[in-house]
Amino acid sequence: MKRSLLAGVVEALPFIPGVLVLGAIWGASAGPAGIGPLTAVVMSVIVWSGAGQFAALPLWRQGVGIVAVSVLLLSMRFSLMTTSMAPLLAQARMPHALRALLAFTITDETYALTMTRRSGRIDPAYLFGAWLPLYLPWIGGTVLGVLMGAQVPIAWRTTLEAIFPIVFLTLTVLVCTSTTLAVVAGLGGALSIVFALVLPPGWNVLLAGVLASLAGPALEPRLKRVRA
Amino acid sequence: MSLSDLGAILVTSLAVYTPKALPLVLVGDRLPSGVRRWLEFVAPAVLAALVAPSIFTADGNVTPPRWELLAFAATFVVAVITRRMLPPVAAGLAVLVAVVVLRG
Repeated sequence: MKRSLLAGVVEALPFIPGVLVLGAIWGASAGPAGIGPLTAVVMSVIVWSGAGQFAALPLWRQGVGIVAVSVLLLSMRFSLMTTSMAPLLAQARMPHALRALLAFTITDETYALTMTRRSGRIDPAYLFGAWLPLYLPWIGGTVLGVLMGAQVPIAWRTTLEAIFPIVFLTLTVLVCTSTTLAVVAGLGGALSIVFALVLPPGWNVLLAGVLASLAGPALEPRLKRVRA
Repeated sequence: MSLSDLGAILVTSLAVYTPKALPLVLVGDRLPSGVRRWLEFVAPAVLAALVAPSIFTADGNVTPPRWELLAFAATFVVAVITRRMLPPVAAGLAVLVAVVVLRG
């Protein structure tokens, strides 16, 4: 229990600089968008979504309805992720209350880290450990941004934000333990790029994720035959 | 912070939390084998779908070639060779820092 908690913390450490900077940028952008300092910090604590909170910025003055609909659309990809996690949690015989609590720790980052661990089931302690180095810097970064503005030079900013693709690329490679999984990943990446170019924000990950994963079971027998 | 702000925050947080929580709570382990097989392919599909646009696009446009691509290439190659977490991340960060330093 303790060991997997620590493993989660350690493996999520590379995200800290990027999360801090994004949190500071969000905190600094909140004021001009009409979101007060305390509201900005409370949002980071309760809403807890980088993509969702940035999407809310330009819409905040237009009312809660449009904010909620946009954020919901951006968050639909999480349903795909947690659907794929659910059977693994069920195997661990986890009570429903704990699953509801664990749902708060699900982010792109914790999902990527958790699914790369090939143990056949999900360890809640690991998930919780991986969540801490994301959640705390997100709040800390927001506080810094609200208090001081995002005084991050633009060159620094692009450098620190490039850490996200570096870690995600690594986890994507690690999760591809068979030829079919790798082909599905390639398909998902290609579709997602195309969708990102032609569709409004929020659709590309969900659509590419669904389509590419559905291709998996159809591709598997063919690819096996090719190799044999 | 006004009461209406707090209300807006709570509604927004539900818009984030509900899509995460519903499947975790509702989907059990007695799934048809076809669904189970499909779910095995979700992680690679979603992870690649998350990362690919962040490397090749920005704000709905293809990004022009930039030096950071070297760091992503190093990460990818080292990840394929070592199949471990730390070496590719370290290699990617090292190239990233080198690019920033050399570019000045």
